[in-house]
Amino acid sequence: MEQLLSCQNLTKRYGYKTALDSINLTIERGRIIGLLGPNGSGKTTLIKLINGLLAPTEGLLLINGAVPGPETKKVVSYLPERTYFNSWMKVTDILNFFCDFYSDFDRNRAMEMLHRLNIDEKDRLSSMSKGTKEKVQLIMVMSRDADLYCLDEPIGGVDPAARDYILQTIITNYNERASVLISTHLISDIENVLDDVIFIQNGHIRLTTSVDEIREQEGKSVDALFREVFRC
Amino acid sequence: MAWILDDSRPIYLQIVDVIKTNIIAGAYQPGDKLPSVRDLAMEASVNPNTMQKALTELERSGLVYTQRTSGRFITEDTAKMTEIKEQLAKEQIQLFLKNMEQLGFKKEDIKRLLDQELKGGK
Amino acid sequence: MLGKLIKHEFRAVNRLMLPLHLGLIVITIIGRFYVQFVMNREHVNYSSYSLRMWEGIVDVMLVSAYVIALIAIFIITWLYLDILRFRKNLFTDEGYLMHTLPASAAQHIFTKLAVSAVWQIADGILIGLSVFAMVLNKSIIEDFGYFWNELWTSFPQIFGVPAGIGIPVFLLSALVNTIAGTLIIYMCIAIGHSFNDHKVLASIGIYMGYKFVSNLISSIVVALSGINSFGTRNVNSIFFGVGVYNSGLNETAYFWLNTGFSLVFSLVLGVGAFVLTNHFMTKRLNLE
Repeated sequence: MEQLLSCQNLTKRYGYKTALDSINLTIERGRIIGLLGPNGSGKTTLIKLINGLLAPTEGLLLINGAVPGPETKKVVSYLPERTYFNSWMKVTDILNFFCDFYSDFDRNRAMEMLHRLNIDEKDRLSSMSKGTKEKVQLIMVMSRDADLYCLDEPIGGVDPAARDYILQTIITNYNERASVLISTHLISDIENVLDDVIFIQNGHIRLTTSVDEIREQEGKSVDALFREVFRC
Repeated sequence: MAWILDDSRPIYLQIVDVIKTNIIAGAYQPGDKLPSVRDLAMEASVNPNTMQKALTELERSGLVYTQRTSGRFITEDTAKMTEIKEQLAKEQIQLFLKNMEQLGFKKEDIKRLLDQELKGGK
Repeated sequence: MLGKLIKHEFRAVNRLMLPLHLGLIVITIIGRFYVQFVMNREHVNYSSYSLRMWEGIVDVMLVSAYVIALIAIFIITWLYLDILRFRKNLFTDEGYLMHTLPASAAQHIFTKLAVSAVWQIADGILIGLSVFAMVLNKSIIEDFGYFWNELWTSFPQIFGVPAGIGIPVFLLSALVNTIAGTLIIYMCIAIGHSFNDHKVLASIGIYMGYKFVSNLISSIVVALSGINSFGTRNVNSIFFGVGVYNSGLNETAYFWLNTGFSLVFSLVLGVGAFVLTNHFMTKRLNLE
């Protein structure tokens, strides 16, 4: 199979500001990868580029060998850091929407997860708390049989119970054809779930390695190493 | 419930230890079927790849064997169990001795204190 | 994909458009009953002058309210379809969902355009019918035949072509013009939202800049050539007598020259705006 994702000299500039500076990166299938870096390091820019929400200034980004476009959007499932549904929508409306647009959407899987959280299909988003809305969105994103899941700060600002739920969801839906890319700056929370980590800083990739390697070679957790690498 | 894992060692090695301890302590009986990788991963709140790696490690040690169609089982080879049990005990004792040495105790003192403790415990 | 996009777009837009136009129909029905009531009232002998005066004031107020309601419905429809919906759905948080659907930017633009055009046409027809229903009375029906004949005889005299050709050409021209207008607004929103901040202000600025330039160009064109979009000779041209006016063309040639020019102009604008919108939505997308 082709490489799931590869970046070649990928650069993104906003005006004079360089958000990503000529990065090279590949992502294999069947991995859960942490995209780790301080705020403003380029995490969101990279994820937006993968999802075609930004166009590269220079360089190349390929998903299954193709540049981002309608074809790659069929196989990439994206959880942005904001809620993007209309508040008038009911859960059924959202289910219908995803069913219509994503051929890989598994309605039954979504319904199962919703029921486990006691979310009724007839509930309107406007009647839900922010946390519940975020969970609905995560359920929709994880109910697709995508090749690549991009989760941008999925655990930022949620309570520990919700965080555990999110991690459980990621583990449950794991499959060996697909990879999950999770961007966060809260490392210790997700460390046990990760295979690999990418450290990113000021638009440069500082380190790509596996969690086991860090622990074997450095004798410390990813979180501790992160604090060391990015010490202010 | 997530298994409590520490920070310094690779996660899969810690999982190997947890499962080993469970087997020796009798939480899993010889011949028992282990839960699937996915379920174990869920239980431990770790990545399925990591769990897979841990189980492969356990298979190599001989505590767990795979039946191609029906899954993973705890070994029924009691000799093997005893061997591993004693191996673990040995590790603990070595650790204990090392700590005592650091405290400045000689072998005779350790023996005396240990005997005293064992009698007192009864 | 396009079909699904259009289906969901209608579903979202209808939430406002249906009640709005249902409201229009209700206003029309109530208004019509009121008109009927007023026409019957004239036959009553009034004893009190002041009563008559108050009735007059109420009538004027109600007519004003009706006219304001029509204008409001027209403006809300236009504002919502051409500006608010396009911006909110594609350039705010909702854009994160829309732009990650397996659809191209061109499909998104076309979807918005088609739904906007359908509702704006429906809006125009319904407003027209409402006014017609309001003023309709026996004498209009009786005189209708006369008006119709008048239209068919005087139209060729003014425009140089039969009404059967001229009116459809005008309607086509109006449609293309509306679509081009919508696309130009989309273009301004798409360009404005590629800015890092002050996206709305930038969009408005770009629209004003565009308006200024396009007015300048069209004034020059009209002034130099005498061509205008009404299909008649432009007597206001500053080069009156220099341009095509004196070229000895007859009314028919004029009509085709002018409407043809206007049509081509709108088409060029529309296509240009579409291409630019598409470019800015794919290469320069910059969601907050």
